[in-house]
Amino acid sequence: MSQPLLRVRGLNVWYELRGRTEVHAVRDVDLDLDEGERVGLVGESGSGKTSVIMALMGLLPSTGSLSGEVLLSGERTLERGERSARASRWRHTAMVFQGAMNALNPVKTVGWQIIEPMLVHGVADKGQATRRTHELLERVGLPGATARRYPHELSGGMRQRACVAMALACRPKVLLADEPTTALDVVIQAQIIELLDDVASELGMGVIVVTHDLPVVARLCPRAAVMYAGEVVESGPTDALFHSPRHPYTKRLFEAVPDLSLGEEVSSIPGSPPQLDRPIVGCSFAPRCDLGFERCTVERPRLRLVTPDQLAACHLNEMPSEQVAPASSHELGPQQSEPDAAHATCGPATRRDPLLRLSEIQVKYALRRGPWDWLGRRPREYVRAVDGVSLEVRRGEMLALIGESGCGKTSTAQAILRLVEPASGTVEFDGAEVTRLTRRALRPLRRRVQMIYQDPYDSLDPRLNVRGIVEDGLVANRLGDRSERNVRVRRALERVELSPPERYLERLPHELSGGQRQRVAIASALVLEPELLVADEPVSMLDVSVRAGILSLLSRLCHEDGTAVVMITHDLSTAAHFADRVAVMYLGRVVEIGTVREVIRAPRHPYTKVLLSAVPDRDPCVRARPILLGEAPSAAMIPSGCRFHPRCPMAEPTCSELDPQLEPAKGHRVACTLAPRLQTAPAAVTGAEVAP
Amino acid sequence: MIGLPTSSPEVVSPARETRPNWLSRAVNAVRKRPSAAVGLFVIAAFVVLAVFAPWISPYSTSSPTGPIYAAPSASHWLGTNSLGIDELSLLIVGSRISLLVGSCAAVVAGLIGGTVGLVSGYFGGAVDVVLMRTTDFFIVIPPIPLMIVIAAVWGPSLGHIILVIGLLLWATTARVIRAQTKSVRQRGFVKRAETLGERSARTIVRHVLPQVAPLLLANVILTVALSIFYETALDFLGIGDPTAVSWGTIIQNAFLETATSNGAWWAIVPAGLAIALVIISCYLVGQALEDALNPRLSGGYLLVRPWKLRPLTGREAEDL
Repeated sequence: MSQPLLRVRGLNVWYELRGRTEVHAVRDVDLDLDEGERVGLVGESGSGKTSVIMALMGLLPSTGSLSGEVLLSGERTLERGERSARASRWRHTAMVFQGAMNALNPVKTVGWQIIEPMLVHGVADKGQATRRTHELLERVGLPGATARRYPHELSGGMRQRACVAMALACRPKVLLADEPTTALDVVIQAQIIELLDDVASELGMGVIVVTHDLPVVARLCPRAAVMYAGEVVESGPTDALFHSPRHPYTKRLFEAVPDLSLGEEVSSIPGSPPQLDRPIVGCSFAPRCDLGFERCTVERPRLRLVTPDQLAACHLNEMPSEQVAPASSHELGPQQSEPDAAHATCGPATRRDPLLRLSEIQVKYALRRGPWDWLGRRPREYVRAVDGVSLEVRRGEMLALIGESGCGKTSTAQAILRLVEPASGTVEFDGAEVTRLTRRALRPLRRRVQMIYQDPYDSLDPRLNVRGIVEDGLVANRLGDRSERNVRVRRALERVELSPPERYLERLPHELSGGQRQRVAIASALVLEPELLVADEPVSMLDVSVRAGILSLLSRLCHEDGTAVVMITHDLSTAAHFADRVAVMYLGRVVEIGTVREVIRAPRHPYTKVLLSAVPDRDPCVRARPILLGEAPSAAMIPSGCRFHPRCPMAEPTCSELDPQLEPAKGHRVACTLAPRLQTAPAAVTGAEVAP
Repeated sequence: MIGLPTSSPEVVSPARETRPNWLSRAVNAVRKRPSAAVGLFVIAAFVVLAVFAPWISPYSTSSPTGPIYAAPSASHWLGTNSLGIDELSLLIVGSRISLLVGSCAAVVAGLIGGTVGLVSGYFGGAVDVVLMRTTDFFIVIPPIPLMIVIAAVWGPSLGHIILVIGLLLWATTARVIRAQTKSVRQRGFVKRAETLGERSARTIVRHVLPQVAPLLLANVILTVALSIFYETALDFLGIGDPTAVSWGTIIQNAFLETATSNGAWWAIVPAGLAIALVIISCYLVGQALEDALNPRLSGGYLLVRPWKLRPLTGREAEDL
């Protein structure tokens, strides 16, 4: 048997915490990586996946310690601690860090940062290194002249490309990618995935991709390992993990991820991962597992071969086969999502009149201010973040606003609540014109329109307990006396499935998990009994395993209680699963709007098609080739004619002159002059193909 | 930063449940820095001295109890002054005025500075510009000459001295509080309060103030040191309340009655030392508070110490 390129045996990582406790973050992880092979490492946050690759790089913080054996081409890289790790770091193992914004030094040129490791490791002299930097930059799709530019001059996608170039500088044998696509837009995500794919197959490196984003693994890695509570619970070919998982956690993790296939059920995993600062008895997943039996709470399952190429650590696999079968057909938990029927028509509370109507909303931000502008003079330049958006939302309906970052979706939402003042256009809420109200008259209306923010770690006052947070809105609006407020708070907590409320009332935000926090945030909005909820990326900061729970909660509020919901998201799969209608925004305009079915199944605007093609599927067998395009232009320089034409794969000369407007009709509408012609041949543009 | 409510003057103590939190953090901050414990001890000792001064002081401070400029001895530990009054008694009684004026002026400065900083940072825009230009104006005023002028116009009295010092020392506090308020303003929970329909005043008191209160407290304590310094200076210049005994008047008296040419060091040094001790202690406590509350100042994570390698144990060892 040949030696694998990278062989990890019995890797353990501990972190020392204040107060002398210790977190056992990685427990007995084994990993093999062959040359040219790609392995995905997936799991919730806190599952230890990042710790594994940080340990492989020898980049643990000073509170960290590790044990285990890491062999790279037969050589032990960590046996002398930091000293031996330093010699091989970046020379043999290189890394693409999470968050390209922070991985580059802002005061050095990009080129300098790529050259540096080559000089440090003595791989090349200065001239060679400079030449190689040019090659590398061109290889990752950047002009060679980028070497002389500074990180702030590059966009997020370009920076991530530069980081890839930096990782390749010393021709490493192993490339580690830590969440390479998070914090990037869908279109850019697809580009980076393609780039990693190309580069890895061309250079024959071993690649480990760490991500919580299962579709990324499905797209990039033929083999994957699922981590839970610091240990690998299952590993094997990615499609086997997806189609026939042998560990309940793997199955539930895949089920928690929505994709574009409408109608499939999405459910979150109840409970939360175990605390790692105390020993775990039995199976770490047992408390959250609905198939567990006695043995699971006593004996820790070992990772064993369950099929010729699949390893799993679950006692169920040692039982007779008929008893394993339930793993594929078990009952879903209480947090099951709404069935597909909910998409087609709205709940009983639906009424014909729109609750919210935006017409021709414009939002401008001052770009450059003169020295006297604070006196009330008009700033000289503007960014038109929202440029003529018209929308309608009915009661009991969930509308998803979709688009890349910078397309104006958040500004639109803020204009609804007049958190930013629209420069022109009108907002009508329940017949009243919000845009004409004075600040004072606006206050009672604020109660009826509530907002849910993206980051539940930031939107809850850290000093107040759950009762204080939820009660805040009632007190602020002078609603009810003490006992009535109490009743309302409890009811709101029950509606967000935090029951019994007594268990949560006295807790402080830092004592809650991310999902629970977001539920508290929703409860604090619900307590005012709003008629419209505006949710700004409500799950993007949360773990994959709890996202579905929050989204189905919103969906239930919408369809059962008749609350209208406007959900802002960059994630098409989320919108496809939970929304009723979708509005796709591009550079401050709505380019396509319609029901989920119409927009996702039969997109008519080229931009929508591009977006859809960029979403990787969670099923590794579906390999759609995304349409690649350049990065989104800034809203400060809006192209003439159709805003999308410089990036549009279908653009024709007339597109740069004609500014298409949203069709005036009802229903599925699109703003594209070519749409009537394109509709006949949709396959040509999506380029989707199903691998055998 | 996770803030903690404090008993600083304008806090309407909003959250009972966080009290243990603030206490434990304060205790922790003191335990981690012995210097803060020393400062706290010195301040506490002087406060006890000031409160019980009439009972502690061994002699009267209004009538001579010994010879003129008597050197320290068993009966007069710190000697006597130009009138034959016991220096130790003067020092003990004098601590009352110094500490009272120092802390009251600091509270006045904290109230003004805190309010200006909160309003300026929360509302921004034109309000911010006007308030901050005013603050800049107060920062560049040379305080001593202005204090002399105002105190001279208003007439010497304790209340006037407190007001004058307070009115001239709020500017730095306002700047610091404004900066912190601006950053808290961007936090999600403050924006959420806005969408809940909360009034600005309530949002400031309930959500913003508790976040900046610890910083305000640290600033007030640092201002106490400055106020004591200025109070002494004004007394020394003869602008303070002439009837009251304070550390400043002790030194002034010694200076006017030519204590130095008589070799009577005991008429000046003890009062000077007391002032220095209190001021240093205030700085020690204030700094410790600031460090404890400002995570960016704690440098623990910047340690250049590598991770540790552990020997193979248990399962790994038997596998290999």
